[in-house]
Amino acid sequence: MTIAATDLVGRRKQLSWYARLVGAESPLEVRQAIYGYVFLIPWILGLIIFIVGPILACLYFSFTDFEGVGVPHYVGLANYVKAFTGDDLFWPSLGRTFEYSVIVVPVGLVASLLLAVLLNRAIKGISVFRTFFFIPSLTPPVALAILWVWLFHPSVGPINLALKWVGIQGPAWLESAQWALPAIIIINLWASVGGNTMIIFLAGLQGVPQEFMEAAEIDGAGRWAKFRHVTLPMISPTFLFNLILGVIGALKVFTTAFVATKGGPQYATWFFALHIYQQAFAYFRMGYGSALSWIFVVVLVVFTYFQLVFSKRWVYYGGEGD
Amino acid sequence: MATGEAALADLDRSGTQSRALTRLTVGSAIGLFSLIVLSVVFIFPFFWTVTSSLKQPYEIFNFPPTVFPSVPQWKNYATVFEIAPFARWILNSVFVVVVGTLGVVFTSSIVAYSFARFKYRGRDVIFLLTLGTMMLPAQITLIPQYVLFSKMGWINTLYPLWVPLWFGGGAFYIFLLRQFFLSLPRELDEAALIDGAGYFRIFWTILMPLSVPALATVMIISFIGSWGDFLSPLIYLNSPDIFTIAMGLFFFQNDPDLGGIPTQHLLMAASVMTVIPCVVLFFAMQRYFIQGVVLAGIKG
Amino acid sequence: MKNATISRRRLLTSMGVLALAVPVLQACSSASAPAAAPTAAPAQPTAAKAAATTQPAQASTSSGPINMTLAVYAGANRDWMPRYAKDWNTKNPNVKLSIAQIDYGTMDKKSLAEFASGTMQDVLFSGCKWMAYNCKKGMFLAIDDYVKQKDPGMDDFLAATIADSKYSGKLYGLPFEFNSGNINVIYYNKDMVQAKGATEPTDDWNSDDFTKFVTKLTDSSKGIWGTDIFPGSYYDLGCYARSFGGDVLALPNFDKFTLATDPKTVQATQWMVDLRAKYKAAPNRAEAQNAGPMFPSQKLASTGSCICSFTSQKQSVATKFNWGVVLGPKGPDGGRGYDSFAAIWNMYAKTKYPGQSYDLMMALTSKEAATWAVLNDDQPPARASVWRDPQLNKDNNIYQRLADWVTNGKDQGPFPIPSNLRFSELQDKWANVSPALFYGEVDFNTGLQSIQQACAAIMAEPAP
Repeated sequence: MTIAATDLVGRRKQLSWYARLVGAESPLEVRQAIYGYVFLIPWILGLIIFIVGPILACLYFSFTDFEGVGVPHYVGLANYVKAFTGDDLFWPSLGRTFEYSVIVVPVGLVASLLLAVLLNRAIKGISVFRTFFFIPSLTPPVALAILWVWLFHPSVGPINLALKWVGIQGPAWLESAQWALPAIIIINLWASVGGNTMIIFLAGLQGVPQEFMEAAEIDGAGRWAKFRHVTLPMISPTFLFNLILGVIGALKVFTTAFVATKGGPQYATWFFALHIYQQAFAYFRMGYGSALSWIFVVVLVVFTYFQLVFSKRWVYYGGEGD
Repeated sequence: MATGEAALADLDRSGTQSRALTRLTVGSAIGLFSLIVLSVVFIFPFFWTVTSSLKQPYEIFNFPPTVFPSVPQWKNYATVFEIAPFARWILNSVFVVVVGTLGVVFTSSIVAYSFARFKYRGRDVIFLLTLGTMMLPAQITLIPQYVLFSKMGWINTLYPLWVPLWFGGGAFYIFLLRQFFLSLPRELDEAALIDGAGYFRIFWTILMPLSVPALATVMIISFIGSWGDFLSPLIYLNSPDIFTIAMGLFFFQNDPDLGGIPTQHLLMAASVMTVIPCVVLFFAMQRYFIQGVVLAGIKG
Repeated sequence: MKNATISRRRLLTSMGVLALAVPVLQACSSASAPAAAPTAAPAQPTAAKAAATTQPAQASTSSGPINMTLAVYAGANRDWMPRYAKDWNTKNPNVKLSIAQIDYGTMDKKSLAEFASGTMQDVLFSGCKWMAYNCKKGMFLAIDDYVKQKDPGMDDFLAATIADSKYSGKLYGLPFEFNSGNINVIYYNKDMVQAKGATEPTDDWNSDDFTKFVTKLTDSSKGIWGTDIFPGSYYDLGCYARSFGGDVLALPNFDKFTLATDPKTVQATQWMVDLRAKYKAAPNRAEAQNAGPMFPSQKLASTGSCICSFTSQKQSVATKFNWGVVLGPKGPDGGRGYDSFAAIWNMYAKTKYPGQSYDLMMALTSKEAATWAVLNDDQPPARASVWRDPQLNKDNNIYQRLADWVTNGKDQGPFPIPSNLRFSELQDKWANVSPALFYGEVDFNTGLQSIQQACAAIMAEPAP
C-alpha cells in the first residue's frame, strides 16, 4: 500500500517503504536521511555500548548478588531492602551528602553571583581579576585535595596560623569529626565559586537589556532596587541553569573526600558516591553497588524534576529571545 | 539569541564598552578593593603550595612556619621525577588526553552535524535522549562498564579511558556543537550542495572551519576534564607504570619513599606540576574557553 | 564568528600532527602494560570454588619455549624479586619469563579483575589479608602435592607463615615475608631514658612497666610524649589483646568479634586507652598530626612500630641520638601475642605450567633470596634461619630475639581473617569507629560498645 504524496510542483509521487521508514518525502530526503543516520552511528554505538546497555545491566545486577567474579544469582529486591533497612551507612551517607549540598549549592550560587556582579564593570584589566577567580576551578581535583590537606594542617597550615593571629585556636579540620565536613565544603567552594558558574552569571548580567535599567532609573529606583527588580528576574533563567547543574554536581561529590579524608574521620565525610564506590570496588559487592547506583539516579532525577516544576514560579523568561 | 551574542561580544572586549563606568565613585572603589582582597584570597592557596614546594624537607615543618623558603630548592622538582615514575605518568596522561580529545572533537562534531543539518525519523527523540544522559551520574554506568572492560582484558590498560570518547564524546559536546551548527546559515550548505559537494565534504570544508572557536572550546574543556579525571583511573588502573597523573599523584601521596624523611615538599612540587598544564592551556585559549562556557550557559 | 584567529589550515595541520603522534605515544605508553596472552573465553570458575584439585608435577622439560608471567611488587623497594626471578630464568632458559609490577595496595582488586578476564599471572603474590578470599573464589592452585614431591624446606618456614598460607586445610602458596605486628616492636630514645633516670626497657617488660616507662618520659612542658602506640587496625589491638590472654576475633575460627565480650580483651583495651585518657602519655588526635615523623625529631621518647621499619628508623634517626629497640611489652600474665602477617607466592589455578611455576616459587622463597632480601631491601623473611643470620644481627640482634620469640611454641599469632572473609569492611569499620575510644574522646564503655556493635554487625554478614 503506497501513499501518494505531492512534491513542490504538484506531481504525484509514490513513496517506497524505506522512504516512509526514515520519514522522508522525496528521494533527496531519503538520501540525506541515510547520511544523517550514518553520521549518527558513533553516538548510537556509544549510547548502546557505553550508556544504555550499562544502565540496563546495572538494573539487572541490582537484583543479583554479583561479586565481580563468578555467576550472579538472582536475589530479588534483597539489595534494595538492605539499602533502606540493613545498611548502617546508607542513610548517614545520604544525609551527609544532603548536608553538604544544602550548604554548597546556595552559598556557591550566591557567591558566584556576587563575584559576577563585582566583575561586571568595564574597567580595563578586569579580565585579570576574572582570571584569578577562575584558576582554582581548573585545578585537577586530586591536586586540589592534596594542597588543601596541607593548608588545613592543624599546626603548621596557614589557615590555623591565620586564625591564631586573630586569637582563635583553629580546630583539627580534616582530622576532626566535627570539622571535616566544613573543611570539604570550603575546599569545593573555593574551587567552584569563581569558575564556570560565575562566568555564566557574568554573561547573563551583561545580557540584561540597557533599556530596562534606564527605565528603572527614570522611575527613581536606587541601585539595590534596580538589582532586585530588574537584574534578578532577567537572570533567573541563568540562575535556574546554574542551580540544576550545581545540585547535580554537589550530590556527586567524591574525589575531594576520597583523597583528603577517605570518608573519615568517623564517617564524617562519607558521601553517597563514596559509599557506592566502597561497596562496589573495595568490597566487591557489585550487585549491591548497582542497587545503590539506581537509588542515586532516582534521587537526582527527582531533585531535578522538582526544581524544574518549582522554577515556573520564579523564573522569568521575558528577556530571552528564544 | 541576540542578547546572548551581545553578551559574548561584551565579555570579549575587556573594558572598552561605551556604557562603562569609568568614573571612580565610592561604590566602585569599594568594589575594586573587594576585588583585590578576594583575588588574594583565591590565589593564596597556590602561592602557599608553590612556596612549600621549594622548601627543604624539615624546613616545611618549622614552627612557627616561615612563608618563604630560606633557600629555594628548585631541585625538589627534579627529585619528584627520581623517586616516582612521574615522567611515565605525564606521558600516560598526555596520551589519554590527546587521543581522547581528538576522539571527542571528531565524533561529537560529526554527530552534531547529523542532528543539526539532517532530517530523519527519530532525530528529535534521540536528541532528547542525548540531553537526558547529561544528567546521569557516572555511577550508574560504572559497574557494568567495569565488568565489560574486565571481560575484554582492558583492566590496567589505558583503553577504558579514551575508547568511549571516540563514540560521540558525550552529550555535552554534542549539544554544544549542535547549537553552534544551527547558528551557521544553511545557505552555505545549500550552495555547496548545488555545486555537487557531498555531505561529508560540506561538513569538513565548510562547517568545521567556521566552527573553530566552538571546536577549540570543546578541545579545552575535554582536555581539562580528561587531565583531572580521577574516578576512571582509580578503578581501571592498578600498576604504577600505567597510572595517569591524577592517579599517580594520589599514589604518591600515599606511598612516598625516601627512607623515613618527610616528603611533603615533594608532594607539593608534584601537585604544582599537575596544575600547570591546565593553567597554561587556559591562558593560551582564554577567549575561546570563556566563549564556550557562555555558549553552553546561555543557550542551555 | 569574527574572531577566529586560527586558520583552518593550522587547525587541520595540528590535528594531523597529533594523529601521527598517537601511535608513537601509544607505543611508549602501552609497551609496559603486561601483554599476557588472554585466554579466549572469560574465566568461568568451575567446581573449583574451594577445592582446587592439584595436578601431579609434570616433567619440566617441554618442546618449545614456555611463556610465563610473574607479578612482583611495584614501587616499594623489593629489588630482590626481579633479581631472583631473573636468576631462576637464566637457570631455566627454555622459559620466557615476563615480569609485571603491581602495586601491593591494589593487588586484591587487580587479582580479581585478572581472574575475571583470564589474564592472571602464573605466579603472583598475595597478602594474607586477601589470600583467603581469593582461595575461596578458586583463583589459586593448592600445592600440597608439589611440596610432597619437592620439599622447599618447610621446617624452616615460621609456623605462623605456613598457617597464613593455608586455606581450608590446604596449602595455597609459599610465604616470603613475615611481620610480627605493626605496633609491637618498640624503638626508644636512650638519651632521653638516661636524662630522666628511667630504667631501660628489656624484652621481659610487661604492660605495667610500659605504662610507668612512658609516663615517666612524657614531658608536656617540652611537648614530648612517651609513646605514640595506637591500634590503627583491629589486628594491631589484637597483638596486645593476645598478650593479655584474650583476642579481638575469637580463635580458632575468627567468627566472633570479642572486643567487649572477652574480659581479658577489655582489660587490654583499657590499658591502651588509659595511655592517653588517663596518663596523657601519648598524643591525641590533633597533636598526632604534628610535624612529620616524631620519633626522629625527638618529640617521642619511644614509638610502637614493626620490625620492617628497622632500617628506615636507623636512617631517619642517623646520629641524632642513641636509640635502642625491644620487643613490645608482655601482658600481666607474661604472655606476648602477635598478629603474624605474611605475604605469599601463589600459583594461578589455570596455569599451563604448574611444575615450572612451583620451581619459580621455590626459587623465590629460597634461603639465599630471603637473606639477600632482608639485608638489602629490609624485608623481614618467612624463614626462621634467615632471621638468625649472623650478618643480619651484627648491629642489633633484634631479629634473632624476635625469631626466638615467635618460635617459642607458646605465644599465638595467626592472622585474624574474619570467617566470613569480610576483611576490608571490618577494617574500614574499625578505622572509622575506634579512634574516638582510643583517643580518649568518648567514655570508655560507650566507645567500647559502639565498636563492638558496629564490628559484630560486619561479622554477621554472609560470606561472599
